[in-house]
Amino acid sequence: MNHHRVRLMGVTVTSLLVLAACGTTTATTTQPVSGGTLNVAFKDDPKTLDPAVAYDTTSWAVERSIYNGLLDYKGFTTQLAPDIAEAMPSITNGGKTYTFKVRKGVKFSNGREVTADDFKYSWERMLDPKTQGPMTGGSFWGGITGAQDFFNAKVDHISGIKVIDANTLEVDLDAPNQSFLNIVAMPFGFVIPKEAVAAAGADFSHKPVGTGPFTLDKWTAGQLLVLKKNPNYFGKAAYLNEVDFQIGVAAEVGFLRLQNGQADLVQPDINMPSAQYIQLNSNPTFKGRIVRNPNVDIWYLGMNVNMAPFDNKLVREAFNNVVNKTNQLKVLNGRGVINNGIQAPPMPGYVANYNPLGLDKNGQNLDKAKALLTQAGYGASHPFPAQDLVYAKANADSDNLAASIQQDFQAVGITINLKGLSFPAFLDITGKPNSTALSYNGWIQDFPDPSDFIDPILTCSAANVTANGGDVAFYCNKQLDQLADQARGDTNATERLKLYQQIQDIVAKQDFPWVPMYSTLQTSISGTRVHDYALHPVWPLVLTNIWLTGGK
Amino acid sequence: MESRRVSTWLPIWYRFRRDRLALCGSAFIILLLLMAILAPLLPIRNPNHGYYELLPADGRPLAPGSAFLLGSDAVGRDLLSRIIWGARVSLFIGFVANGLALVVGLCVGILAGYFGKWVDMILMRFTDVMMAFPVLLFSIALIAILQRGGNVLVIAGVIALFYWTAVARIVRGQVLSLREKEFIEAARSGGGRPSRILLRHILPHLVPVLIVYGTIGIATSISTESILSFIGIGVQPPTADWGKMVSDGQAFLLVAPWLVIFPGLMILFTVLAFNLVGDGLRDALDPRQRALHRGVLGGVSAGGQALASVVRPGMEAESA
Repeated sequence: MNHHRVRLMGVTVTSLLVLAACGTTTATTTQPVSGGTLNVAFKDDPKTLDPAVAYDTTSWAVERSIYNGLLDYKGFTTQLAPDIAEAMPSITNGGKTYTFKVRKGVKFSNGREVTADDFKYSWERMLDPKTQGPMTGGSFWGGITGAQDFFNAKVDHISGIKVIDANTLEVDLDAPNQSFLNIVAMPFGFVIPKEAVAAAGADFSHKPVGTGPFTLDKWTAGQLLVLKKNPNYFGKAAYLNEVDFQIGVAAEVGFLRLQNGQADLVQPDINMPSAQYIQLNSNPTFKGRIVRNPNVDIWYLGMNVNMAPFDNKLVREAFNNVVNKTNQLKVLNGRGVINNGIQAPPMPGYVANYNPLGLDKNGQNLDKAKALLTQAGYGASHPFPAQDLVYAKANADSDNLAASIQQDFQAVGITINLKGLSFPAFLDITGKPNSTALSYNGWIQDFPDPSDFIDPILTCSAANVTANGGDVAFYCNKQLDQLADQARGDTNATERLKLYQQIQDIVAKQDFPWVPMYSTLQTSISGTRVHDYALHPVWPLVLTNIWLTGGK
Repeated sequence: MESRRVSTWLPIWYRFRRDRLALCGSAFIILLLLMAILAPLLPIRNPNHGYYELLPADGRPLAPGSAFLLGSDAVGRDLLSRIIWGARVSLFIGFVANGLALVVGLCVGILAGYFGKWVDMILMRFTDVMMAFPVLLFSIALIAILQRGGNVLVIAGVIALFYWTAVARIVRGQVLSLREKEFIEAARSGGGRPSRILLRHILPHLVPVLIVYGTIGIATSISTESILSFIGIGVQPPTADWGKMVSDGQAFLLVAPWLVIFPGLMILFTVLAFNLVGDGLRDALDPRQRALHRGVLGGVSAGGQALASVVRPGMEAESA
């Protein structure tokens, strides 16, 4: 169902592009042409191109074109498909053993053929505490048999990752996990050659070797990153000869460059800022070039359940009745839908128009909020203490969204002070226990499985950390954890979704660690010579479909 | 007594009012002050309230027109109200920062100039060190360390911290030359205590310098405050502030240019007005200097030199 929707959108986008092309140029063919250099404007450098370390959309946008994993998503859908694997793996032992066949003839860009050994090496390196990547110490991959002993440096290899022969890899899990194949398809699962890592020393990020359609040609930090077409690529070759990432280009400048033809894409991994969206959406040349796709994200206020005044459930429930979600979306030009739950469209498990508290069309019930605050003991004689709202400043929109929240709470007599921080500072302060009471957060899918919206952000293991936590409310409910464990291994898809809906009810109807607000529509735009640019439901940027008018 | 005061100040006023530009500047400042002080009483909208319901569905800022006289921003706030309320922040910081800078600069300059020797040495070397700091960089660092981004008093204090040095230098120069004058010599040989000599005999001679610098310094402080807010470390949202409004509006430059133009013009006119008034006062307080200005190539008198130097440090500070 949901795959169907995405593909339909892809078709719509393509036909719009064709129409636009026919309207503006005379000698255009609809047949893709090879050749040319695509210019992409980026504000910041990718943090790293080491797949074991990178965990942000900018890095992934580049990495996706350099490396491959065993599995990928079919076209522009969320349906898993084999990539370096010959076929989908066979699953045995009650869902605990996965056997992958590695495709023959797949070569790294250094010319050597990929074997099952390379996957064992790459995955162990990625999970090795010495690599200092984010997957070390548990998270998604912690369920592989023997991984915990490996994290604790008790053993040199993970017993659950076995090389049967040069083309067969077997993975054993401690317990069945329905999202394990999605995990395998994450960039952390990309394969890299051991000899290239040894040759690069500590600098594999700048000397990456992979199997992907492109290779890194040059990277001057803060200026330019160049990808060149990989002649050894095992899949369908890309149309583009080269991709130049112009770095250090602010969004305002980037979109001007796009209109002048100096850039073809602008920071495709993040949503278009409101100002540029309004401008380009009313420009006849560019209006039709905007592509849209559900972002599969949820934006919410996190209330730290261990900190006053949010340790009182009545207060948290009261806060759930205050935010005007229509106004939030208006700041974003209506690019999104109100969401009172925790799953995002079109994720399986998302319930459209979910409204467990019976809120009005703006997501509010101010009378209820006031009554709950009174019940919690706040009133004229005991005013509600002023709260800092911590948020990440990305652009003018961030301040405007926060200001709108401030105004909403004024209506129930609560003072909110705005505290905008840089994104790294924001992650740091909200991920530490007892540091932030109230914060404005977004969660974007890692992979299209509902477990990704529970396990990393709403479970006890995510709350029980000393730093870099994803559970900003530090919310922990044993009953929810039990349901999450059960759902993770449940092979019956219908039953499994019921469990996730039960979890959603616990969060949004009973415990209130969040004020869920909305899910956004991702928008992006390409320059006039670009064809077949589309948003992928999982990857921040896919370059292989793109071709340029005349191949130049 | 009364007649003597009149004879000192009236000619200055006569000279000042001949300067049309300075008069225009004064009128603008008075209007601005009235607007700022009376803002809560004026029949205008709440500057921090977003009238989302008036915005179109795509959240586009409303152009100047019947709904909002000067237009609205992207969250439906009234630009006119925000400009009027923004005057309060800008003027408050301008006056407080410059007041602090004047007081500190005066104390340091007077002590260094009058006592000379090691006092002068220590105070002026310290002043030199402070002058060597890149103002913006250190303001950013200081405000970050203090963790008080939104506090107007902290912002005023930080601005003052860097701008008292110019005042100290000028005052010291003046005091150095005054110290050698006969009437000071006479007071000293008459057995006058240093504190009495400083307050009764030297301070009154510094008043013209302080008035001129005080006026021009306000312009410098206001523009610095706008810059700090523009780069996001000054006044915090949603407080209306001209610098912040320009900063927020620049993203919308192609869609809603009024968001940048109106607050930008307010900064421009305000800084210009204070500079014009300062210039006019300088000319009015020292007619000899004015004569020199009028294109005589002749030698510069000692007094003229001192007053001429009033402007230069101010310019330096502005371009820093």
